[in-house]
Amino acid sequence: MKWSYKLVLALLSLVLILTASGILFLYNRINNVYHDDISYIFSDNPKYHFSLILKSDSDEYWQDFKEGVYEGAKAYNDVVEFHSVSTVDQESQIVEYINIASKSQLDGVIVNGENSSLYGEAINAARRDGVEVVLGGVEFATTERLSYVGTNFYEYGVQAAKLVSQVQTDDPDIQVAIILSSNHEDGNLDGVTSQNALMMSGFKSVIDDIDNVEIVDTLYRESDLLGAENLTREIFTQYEDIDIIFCTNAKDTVAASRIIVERNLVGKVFIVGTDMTDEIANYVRKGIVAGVLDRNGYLAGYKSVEILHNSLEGNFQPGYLDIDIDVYTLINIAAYHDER
Amino acid sequence: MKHKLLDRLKIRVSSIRTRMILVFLITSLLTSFTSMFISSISKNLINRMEEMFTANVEIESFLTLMDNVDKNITDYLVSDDSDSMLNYYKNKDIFLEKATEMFDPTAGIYSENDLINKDILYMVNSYLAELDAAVTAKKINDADGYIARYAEADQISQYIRTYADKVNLQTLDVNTNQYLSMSSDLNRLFVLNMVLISTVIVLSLFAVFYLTYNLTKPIVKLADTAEEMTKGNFDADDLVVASDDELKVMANAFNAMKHSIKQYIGELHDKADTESQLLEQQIENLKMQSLLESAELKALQMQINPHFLFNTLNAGVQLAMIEGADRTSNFLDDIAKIFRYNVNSLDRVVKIKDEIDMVRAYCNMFHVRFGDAIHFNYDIDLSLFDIEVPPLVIQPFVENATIHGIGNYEQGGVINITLKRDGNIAKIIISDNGVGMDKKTMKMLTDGIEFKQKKSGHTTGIGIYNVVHRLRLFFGVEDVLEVVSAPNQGASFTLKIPITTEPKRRAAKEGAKKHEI
Repeated sequence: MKWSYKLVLALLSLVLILTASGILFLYNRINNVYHDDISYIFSDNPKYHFSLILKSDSDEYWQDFKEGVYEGAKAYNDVVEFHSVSTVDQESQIVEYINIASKSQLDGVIVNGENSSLYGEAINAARRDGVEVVLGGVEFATTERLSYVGTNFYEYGVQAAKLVSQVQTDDPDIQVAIILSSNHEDGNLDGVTSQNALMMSGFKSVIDDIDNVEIVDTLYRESDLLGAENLTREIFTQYEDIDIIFCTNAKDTVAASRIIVERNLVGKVFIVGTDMTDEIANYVRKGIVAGVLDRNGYLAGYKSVEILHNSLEGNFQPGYLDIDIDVYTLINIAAYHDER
Repeated sequence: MKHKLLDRLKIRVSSIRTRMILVFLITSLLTSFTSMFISSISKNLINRMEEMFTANVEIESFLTLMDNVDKNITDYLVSDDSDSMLNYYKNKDIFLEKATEMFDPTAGIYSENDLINKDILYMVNSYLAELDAAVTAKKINDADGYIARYAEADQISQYIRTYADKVNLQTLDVNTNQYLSMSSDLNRLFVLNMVLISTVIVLSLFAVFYLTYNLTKPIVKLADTAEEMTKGNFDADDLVVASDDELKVMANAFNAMKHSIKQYIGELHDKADTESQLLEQQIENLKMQSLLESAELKALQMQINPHFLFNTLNAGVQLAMIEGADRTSNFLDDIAKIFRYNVNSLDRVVKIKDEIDMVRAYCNMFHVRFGDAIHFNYDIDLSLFDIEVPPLVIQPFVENATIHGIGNYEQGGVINITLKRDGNIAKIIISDNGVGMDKKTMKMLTDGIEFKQKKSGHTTGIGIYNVVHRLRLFFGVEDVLEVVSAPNQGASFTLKIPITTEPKRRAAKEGAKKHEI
């Protein structure tokens, strides 16, 4: 056979093989796409089935919290179904999901709701149906919840105030503004103290003893969209000598830091932020954020599952689990990366 | 044993039939497998598509069954109708069975969907439990009880619907994502299928073309060669067939046949040539014999007892010498020489010297007879004297010049006799200043065409025609005479005697002798 014929034959065979391989490859990929809807995210025969109900506007803390819940479930061979609650009619949605968890005969619920009578009733009803409830974020001690896992807001306030007092400014009289996440969580139920109130109580308990530090304003961020940015601008407009802005979540911390950079106020105005992200860590290194209070959402989520699991296993669990706050400043920011 | 088996196998594999079967099998199988391959993949993909949308249909069916249950329980609670109660229990079982079939988590929980399915099944249980409780309350006429239970069940049914919708949306979402993910791949798959089919077609065509070409190429060559052979050309190149099959056997057989035929024809040619040469030789011999006989006959006709005349002349010579008549003695001696030369057989070989001597004698005789009317001039290259020639080849031309050239020329004539070398040719030129001849006569003489001459008592009787043909036969060359003449311009006859070539006649004679042996 002539070499030219051999060459043609070899080329055709190569094309044939490559095409057949390509078809098989595409076929498998299409098949895999079909099977992808069955996401094998759980191990076989999980022991307990929990429901995690979180607000959709949750910030970095709740992202970490969710991650911690999943990791906890994985560690204890449990399974968690996640429900995100939209900002509209949050209360009724949370209640509905708690009820559904009850009627679905789930083993436990981890929920971040707002203090209200309906919410409390739903928690209690679930408990009656044999569904244990762990609260994260907002404590509702008067309900029959199994446990609260999260930040001790009084202590959080104390730590924040200490951080504020450590900030080195040129101004002898330090003016502090505080941006709180929302006033909805303040609660209006008798006998229930809101987390914001607790935090402010702790903050003031320290600040009041310091002569040159003054809380000039406390503002509530009503929405995620440009909320903290507008509030920061408002603070700069109203308080030209403002020295420190204390933000109570990661989004606000980042937004306020950007405004400081934008207004060329780096070194003049400082942020005391909450919850750590990579971006915030950069601001710490640049000296814009003087310090960060990391509430450790991941650990809170993990511990929530752990408490539910252990409780269902018949072990006694604490009704209140305080998650320690990590404080990061320029001095120890390297530790954040080490932990990551 | 093994070798034999291998050889047989090789022969089978390399045979035309096997090769054709193999190629057809390969192309057919390739095409079939490609079609099956593509059909199988298409079928599987269609099935997958169908499965994608089956879940939505099933959920709709599930919700319809729940509506039936709700309708039955409502009818019962409102009307307290036993048929409605029976229908409730009947549809409840169907509904539960359907829910279990669709959402049974016993196969294991692996995904978000599995969790939702489990929730739905458990909610169905809670829903039916509440309905059962409502029926029980109804039976004992606990109105508050069954209303509360029904309300609870209704709430749960809303949750079920919410989850069912969720499943529907998720399924739709998954299906949409799947479709979007697949669509580009499906397009690529279509293109690749087309490429695959095209490649298989080209490959099949190539295989068929290659097989056909390889099979027909030697056959076409064979046909061409056979056609050449029919035209008598057996010198075409041998057919070379690379494949080890029947065609090679056929080509080898054809080549062998061609060689055999060529050899046979060659032998026939040789034989025919030999026979032809012999025949030609015989004809020439016969011609020569005829010419000799003719010349001799003519010579004999002229000789009346030549020996008596010859002896008489000798006596005359002696008498003249005794009487002191030298001129007479010389004259008679020359005549005697001429007679002696003529009396000898023409079937002999003489040297040019003999011929020249004989011509001199002849001229001397003429000089005595005609006085100074004719002058003979000689220009002779003595080195050519030993060349052998047939006898009486010059004298007829001299005689012709004296009789026809200047015989009637009143002014007297001059005859020049020249012998000279021209390359490998010895030229004997006899020229005269006589009446010459026309072109027609010249051509007849050079072509060797015999023409009737009026007999003259002055001639020896051997004509130019005779001389020309004897020279041609003797030397085996055609160009032996050149005549240059024009009317009243004289004539020049040049005899061309080859020097190096051995006279053909003598060689032919020797050849004939060998053949006879």
